[in-house]
Amino acid sequence: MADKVRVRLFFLYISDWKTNIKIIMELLEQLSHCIEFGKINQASPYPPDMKGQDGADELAKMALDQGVGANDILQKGLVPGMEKVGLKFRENKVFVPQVLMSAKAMSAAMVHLKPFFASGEVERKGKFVICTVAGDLHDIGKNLVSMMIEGSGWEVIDLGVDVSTEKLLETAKANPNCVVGLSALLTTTMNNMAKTVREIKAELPNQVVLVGGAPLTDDFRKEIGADFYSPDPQGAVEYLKTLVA
Amino acid sequence: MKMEWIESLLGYPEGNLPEPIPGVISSIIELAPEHTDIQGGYLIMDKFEIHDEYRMQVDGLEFLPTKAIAHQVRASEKLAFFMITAGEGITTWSQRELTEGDPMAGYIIDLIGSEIVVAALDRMQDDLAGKMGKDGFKITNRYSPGDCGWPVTDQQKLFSMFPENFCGITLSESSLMHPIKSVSGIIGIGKEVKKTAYACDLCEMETCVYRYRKKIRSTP
Repeated sequence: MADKVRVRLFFLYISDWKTNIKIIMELLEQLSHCIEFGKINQASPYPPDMKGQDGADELAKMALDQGVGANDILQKGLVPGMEKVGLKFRENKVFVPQVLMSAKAMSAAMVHLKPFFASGEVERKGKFVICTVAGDLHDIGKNLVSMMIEGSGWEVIDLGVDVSTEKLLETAKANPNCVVGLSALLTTTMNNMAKTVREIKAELPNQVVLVGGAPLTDDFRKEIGADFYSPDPQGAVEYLKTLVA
Repeated sequence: MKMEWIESLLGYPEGNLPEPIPGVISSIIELAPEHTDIQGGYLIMDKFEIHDEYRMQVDGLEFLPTKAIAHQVRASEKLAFFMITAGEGITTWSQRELTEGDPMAGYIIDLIGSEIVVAALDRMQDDLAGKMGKDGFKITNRYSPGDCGWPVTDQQKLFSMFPENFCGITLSESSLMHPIKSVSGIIGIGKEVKKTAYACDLCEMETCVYRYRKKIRSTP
């Protein structure tokens, strides 16, 4: 008789566990959906078909409250959502305004994860130092790449715009094994990018440098000695994946 | 300012702006004048020389405007040097939305800020054309350091021709203008010059972002 009860309790436990797993998986899927469609929080009116629903902010907190690990929230909720955005952006299915909303949704969820980054419970894949080169103030492209890379699990150190090689070198030296990303929008500042890459490689020959920006090409990347060029942010995300695989 | 331009600059195919973007654009266009302080001016130089290597000498200063631009202004009898700004407010507004408010709106404000300064410059150019036309002169397209490979550093020389802090526009050591939504450059004036519809054809820079923007703006 006792054995029968034990078996029954075991099945109840398993069934409960399965239900919990299902709830958690649904929660993470919802979170991923919020990132993909840029639903920041309940108050946010965007996107119109999700008006009044919980957003990334509430769902991330709910997941933590239900005992979901911060790492799972990042890897199974935020990263897949941002990856979908990156792919849709590459395929011209969404454009900059929508990507910005997705990034904002991701940031809203990230706020809840910040303590776990600090404690080391959530491990980042690496550090990515990004900036727009000297003489160039354009930051939208840089910001998009920065957001996508952060959304893929990297720690991003954004140095801003019009950044000197000295500042970049100082940051790269202070963050060994980081990857550097350079952006330029103007054909005229591509020369500054070339100079920056040359100076970085002269001082730190093994420093990995990614370049991007509207007027760039892969031929230009080869010419200036950078390691990788991508015409879109998702390409940078995919390249970084190969570095930690 | 046409909604279609904004739509194209945002990257969306015509008529495919998702909700709520059209409403966001409309409200930004409505509020933009409160955040805009357009100021600008030009000075006309009668004496200048353009040498074979596309070096342009004006008032003791040497500019290097590259082949495409030198070719366009070569027949000029006078050169107008201009500066114009949409003011700091539009950038402050955009940055505030990008960092603390609605990033979508912030991005669109930035884009509209660029369009405002370009539209103001169009008007200034029309004004110049009208004034010069009275004396039988025509004008060329406008060209700025940064266009067609013209080194941005030439902006330092251009700024030295104007009084300090002219129209509230300043230049950084790396030749960047503040407020950000500002433009400076030159326009050729003469009886034998012409304004072309699409000057990018003369430039060899296939991937230039200005070529893309000009294409959008020239689309009827």
